[in-house]
Amino acid sequence: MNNALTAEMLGLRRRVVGITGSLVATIDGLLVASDTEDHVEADHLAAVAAAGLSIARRTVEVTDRGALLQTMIQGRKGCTAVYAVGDMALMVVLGDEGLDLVSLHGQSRPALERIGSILTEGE
Amino acid sequence: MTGTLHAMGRPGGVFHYRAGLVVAVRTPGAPGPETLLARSGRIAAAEAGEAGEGARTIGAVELDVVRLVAAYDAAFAVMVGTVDDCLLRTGDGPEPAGRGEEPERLVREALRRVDALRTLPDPVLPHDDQVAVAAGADRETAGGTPIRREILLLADGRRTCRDIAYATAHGVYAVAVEVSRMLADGLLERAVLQEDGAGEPARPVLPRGPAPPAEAAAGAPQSLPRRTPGGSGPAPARPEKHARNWADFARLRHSAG
Repeated sequence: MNNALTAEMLGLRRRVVGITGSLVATIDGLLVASDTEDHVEADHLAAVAAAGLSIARRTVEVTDRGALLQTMIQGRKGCTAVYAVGDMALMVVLGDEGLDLVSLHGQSRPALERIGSILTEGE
Repeated sequence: MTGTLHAMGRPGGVFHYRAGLVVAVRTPGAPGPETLLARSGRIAAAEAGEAGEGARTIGAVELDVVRLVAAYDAAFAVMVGTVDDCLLRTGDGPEPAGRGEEPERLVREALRRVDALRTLPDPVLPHDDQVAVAAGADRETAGGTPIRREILLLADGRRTCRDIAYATAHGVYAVAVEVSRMLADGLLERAVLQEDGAGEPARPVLPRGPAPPAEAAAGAPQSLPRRTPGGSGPAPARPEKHARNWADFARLRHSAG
């Protein structure tokens, strides 16, 4: 568990109302660090998110939408956002149905940049 | 006036007006009527077709009451937080349905609730303070009332009053008052936030450049398939099947699911 990554995820959860947890994984679905509730199987979620992100990447390729930024999956009880972190990693953010999407949109980009920096530079 | 008043802040929110009455208040800081109904096992008549076993549909009058309760709770959630700026938009967007409430009455009641919360011995900030069961308090037996039992079960050091309100379908004001009392009674305590990772040795966890993550794969949990460097995906768990027609394709999809 990387403390700098955990600090970023905790900070994001503190800043954005409605985030219930998050994790960082490699692009092929191996868990790197997580800040999730006890009932969430982080390893499993990392693998599923990687598979979903892979399909999303193919989708933006065949539709010529440019580089993939994120996917958003919404259910009745909340949503799951999966972000690409560079070419090598991903971040999953879980939120309840009251998640502040405007705040998430504003806060996620700088957090992703810092997480990308931590992953590649160890800073 | 018909339109929306956007209160920007934390948690912030949007007041929906129709003909001068507030018909809804939406905020990330308090559960909306849909959440209150869905979590409590009651559903609006319009959604009855999607309801599962045991769900109870409600009538228009009860729905109006739930909408009003949710609007009062949401107004409290906005006003107990910080409001940095306000933006008024007239006549845009479809306003939510509802009987509506006079804005003065709504605001007066919301401010009364903010004051009432602040007069408690240990008032909590509903969307910020994370609470945990206090050392020495028994999560199973210390509850007493149903709402206290629910709070004790959910107070894990991560959740705020707002999070507990969403999870239990209670109003955030009711949860905040109860949590404040439980803090004063020594049943709960504020969780200490450990956000600062400074001072810890930071090492790269991913290789620099586009090298395959072989080292990371070596530490993979057993439940995950191993990724082979240069491979195109996980090893097939079952022999590959090929569809010959649409019926086969449907079976393949079914067996993959």
